[in-house]
Amino acid sequence: MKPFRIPIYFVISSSLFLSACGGSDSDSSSSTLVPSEGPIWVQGQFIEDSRFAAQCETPRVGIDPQTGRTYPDLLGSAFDEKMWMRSWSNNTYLWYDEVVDRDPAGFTVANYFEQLKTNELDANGAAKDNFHFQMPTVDWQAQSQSGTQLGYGMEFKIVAATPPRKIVVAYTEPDSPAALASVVRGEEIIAINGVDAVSTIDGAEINVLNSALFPSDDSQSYTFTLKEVGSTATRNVVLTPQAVTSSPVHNVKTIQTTSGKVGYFQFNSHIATAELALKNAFDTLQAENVDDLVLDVRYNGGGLLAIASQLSYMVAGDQQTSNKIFETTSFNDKHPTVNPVTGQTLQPFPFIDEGIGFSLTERTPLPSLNLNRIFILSTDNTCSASEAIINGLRGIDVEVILIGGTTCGKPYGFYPTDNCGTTYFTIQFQGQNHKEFGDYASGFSPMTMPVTEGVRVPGCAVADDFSHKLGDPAEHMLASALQYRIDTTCPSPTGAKAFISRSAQQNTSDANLALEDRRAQTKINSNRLVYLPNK
Amino acid sequence: MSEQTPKITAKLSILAALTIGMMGCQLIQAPEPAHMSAITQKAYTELQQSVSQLMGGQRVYIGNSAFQNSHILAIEREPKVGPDGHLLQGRVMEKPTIFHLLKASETCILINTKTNESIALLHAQCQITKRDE
Repeated sequence: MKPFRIPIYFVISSSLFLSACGGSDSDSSSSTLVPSEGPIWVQGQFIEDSRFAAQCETPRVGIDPQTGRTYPDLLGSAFDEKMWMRSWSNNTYLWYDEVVDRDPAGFTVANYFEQLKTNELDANGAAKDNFHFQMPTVDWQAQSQSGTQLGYGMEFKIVAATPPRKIVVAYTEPDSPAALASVVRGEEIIAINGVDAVSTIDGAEINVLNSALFPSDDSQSYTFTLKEVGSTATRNVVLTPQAVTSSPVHNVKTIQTTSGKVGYFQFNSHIATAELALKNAFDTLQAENVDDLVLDVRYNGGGLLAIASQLSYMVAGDQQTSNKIFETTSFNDKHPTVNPVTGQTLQPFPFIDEGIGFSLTERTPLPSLNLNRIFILSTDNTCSASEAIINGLRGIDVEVILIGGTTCGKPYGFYPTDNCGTTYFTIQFQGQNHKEFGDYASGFSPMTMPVTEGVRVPGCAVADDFSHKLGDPAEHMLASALQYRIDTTCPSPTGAKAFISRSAQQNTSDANLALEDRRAQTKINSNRLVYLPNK
Repeated sequence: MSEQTPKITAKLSILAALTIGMMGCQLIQAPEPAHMSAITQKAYTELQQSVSQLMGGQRVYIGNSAFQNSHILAIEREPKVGPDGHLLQGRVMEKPTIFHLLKASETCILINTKTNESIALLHAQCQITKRDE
């Protein structure tokens, strides 16, 4: 595969279109595998993946919009495609040595990929690899304006996806259809178009719920029946999906306490527009001269790692981050020094102290609060790049106090890679902090968490409190952070029930009845996918 | 808004030359960062098609808010959610594609900063972004 240049902070991870080698095979290791009639499978012996790349059962024709060049596809076979993914996995999969090398015969291409992963369990008995996906490349290539998605501008939390379901509005975007309809945090969706969202077990009705909650087009309006906060009263609102551009940072504020000023803001997504929004937030808090910061990432599932690095810099400042590593990317033991995908020498990811041009002018100096501790509000939706903030700051001895629930546990990443029109996601690297720590596959857990799951971090287990607005000092998670700040005490754990364990979530027997965003999933062939019988 | 007006870079000089090419021999001003002053359906469609064209024809979804408050438009992959409800790609190291909107004389120009390719928008109404705006 041809390496390409990368800027210091980024690696272009766009689908990599591997060119077919074709021609004679001069690789001595393959001589026993490639007789004149073509390659055969021999257990434990692997030819370079480039030998099989872009040899497709159904080659694409025309120009690839990703590269502007003709598709590299040549006429091959399903066997070639399976042999490519087998060799590619053996070369780049983080746990390649835990994959059972099975004969591709008898597997479809999709099914063969599904089994090219470890079957080991983690310390909690859950699957070690939960992140193994494939989807059509044309869907993976789809682009959008940063933060712009078809929807209503309301983020909801599916507290229980199976009956009795509980779907609660977590927050709304300013000026969105939901906000204009006065939808507020804490309201429960109890019906949509008359379909009982709490109890229905009818497949067609569940489809209505999924279509309304995760709209794919703007042609239809839906009537949501909402139960008001702290009341049994209900009301109907009619919402029509439209393009909503979300603001990644909400509720920047300073809370005056008897022991100083505490900054707070809600950070929802590591998208490009967050660069400017975060800089503005830290400018505000710096001008307020806050003594502490509560960073609310309870709904932040990650995104651009560079944004996480910038945010961490703005927390810790020059002195604590100088010559320190925010994150190092670690591949499998075949590639200790060179990125096997880009061919570049592995470079640590620094704490970024300036604008990088995503939404802020390049080289604009970033402000910093120079804090040596931070309070982070978390749930199981706190994932990936958000966890990198926790780990990155802990790596330079900034004290992280976690308030809320166990984070999702995704220290891993991949370079989504195209072959023959399908893009494959297989875990290829692990992020490690300055202290070379990255083993948090079960997440980070506040110290008082009643269920042992992730890496224990100082702080308090507190359930999400939908009865108060985000940023309200009375909201339980924020209130707990403010209390812990005073005397390091935590409220009594709300109970294990409020913190459903990851393994329990995975083992639900009612998966057919679950609500889920299938807009992407219908395009992902994952062995953990559950479809309704008629889908 | 508090976004700072960027310095005019060499990139813009190239653009100026491009613009001269597009506009014949008229005397024009150097392109300056701009944002949309109004967006009609026609202008929105043109913008969406132009962004797609400057990205090799890829499918691109943009909203009416594009270039409304800024001369910068970031294009990223559509977020995809996995079966567990989490983003498939939550640790992104791929740089977004950044577009700038510039104005030279009365022409609004869209530029892909990754490739430096540009398109003059015929239906857009834009105005120069003032410093500290």
